[in-house]
Amino acid sequence: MRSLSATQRETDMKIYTGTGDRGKTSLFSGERVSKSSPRLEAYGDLDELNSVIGAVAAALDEGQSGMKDEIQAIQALLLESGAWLATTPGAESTRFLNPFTIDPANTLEAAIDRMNASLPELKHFVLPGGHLSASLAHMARTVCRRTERRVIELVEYEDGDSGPTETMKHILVFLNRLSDYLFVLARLCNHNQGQRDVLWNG
Amino acid sequence: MERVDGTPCFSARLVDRHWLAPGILELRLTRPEGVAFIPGQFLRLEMDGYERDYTMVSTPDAETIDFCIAMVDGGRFSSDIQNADIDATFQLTGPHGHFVFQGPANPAVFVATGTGVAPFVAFCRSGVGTGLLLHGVGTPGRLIYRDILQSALRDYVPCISRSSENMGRPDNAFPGRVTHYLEQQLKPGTYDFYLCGRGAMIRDATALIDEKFGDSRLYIETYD
Repeated sequence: MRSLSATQRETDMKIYTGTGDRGKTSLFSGERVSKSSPRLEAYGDLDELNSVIGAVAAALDEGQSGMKDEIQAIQALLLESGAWLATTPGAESTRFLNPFTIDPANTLEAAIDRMNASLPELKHFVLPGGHLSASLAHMARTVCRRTERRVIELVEYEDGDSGPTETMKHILVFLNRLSDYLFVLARLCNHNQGQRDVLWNG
Repeated sequence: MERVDGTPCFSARLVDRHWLAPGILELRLTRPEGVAFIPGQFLRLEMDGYERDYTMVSTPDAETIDFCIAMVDGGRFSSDIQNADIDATFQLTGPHGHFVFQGPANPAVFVATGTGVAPFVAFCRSGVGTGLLLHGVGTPGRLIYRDILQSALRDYVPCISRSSENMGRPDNAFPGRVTHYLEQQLKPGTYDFYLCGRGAMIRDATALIDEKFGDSRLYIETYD
């Protein structure tokens, strides 16, 4: 271990601090909370969602760099929403966070419309599956739905009658659109691979 | 100027350098136009292709940007800093970090070891006047910025860990580590704890805070 000056950090990020060994962790706003708290559940699921979306990008073909860029932009937005979820509403620390507006949700809607335009009309339920990239997009979609539910739980648990903040409302709309985006992305992945939707004939 | 990642980038000249205590230098650089930061944040100094991060002890409106830096025997950066000519130019990026004063919602307890006191010096100079500051050092000679801290804060407690060192020990000093003070002296309550120091202190203090001051908030700046 190198010991340098007190306010000198290694420029590499330190991975472990040993401050979370007893079941608690610090929120960005400073509170020590149980790792089973609704806030941790919410941003833990958001982290899982981001990871599965990373796997979707990794499963895309080399020729789909435009799609990969779009997915990475979504991942960056998920990190920003995670920072909001890790911060108690109204805390001083929110001054360090980028505003989370309704724009990302609108961008997703435009992307959904763009992708849908190249797909055959859907008249049946589809079974999640097909190409690996499509299957992962379906997994991401379901994790996204769960994340949305966890964020709603958090909002209901913490805000009671006062309702969610504007930022949380925007994040909830973003998550809701994102699962629709991931559904259409899954179809597009199959379409691009020459695979038809796996239809459910129930 | 900005870097590719959008972080502001500046150059600044060395205008003064002096010893605060044996092995601890204070460095003063010209404040480049456009440098804006919040007390408690740090800048990244670049020299000859390597980088080190230092918290400013000066306020954002001061004429110079000042850092306190502990020297390390044989350390390349330490040696370069000691030998740099007055007027030498440093490249800086930042500001970085979120270790800033969070307001007076709860009584503040500032806990530092060594030059980890730097952000608290910046807090005091920018008007933070209430709170308890524990400054842990091995020997009284390393109680840097004592006058500033003592006059700004009603509760300033030097914690001297080497019990054999009585020379120059202030009357209000606590004989022991900062974590011992938290364990033995701090009244139960809900606080905003600000910890700045090495990993071992942060770990021990966090464990104590979780155990004894569970509803408190905790802000951490760590280094190794």
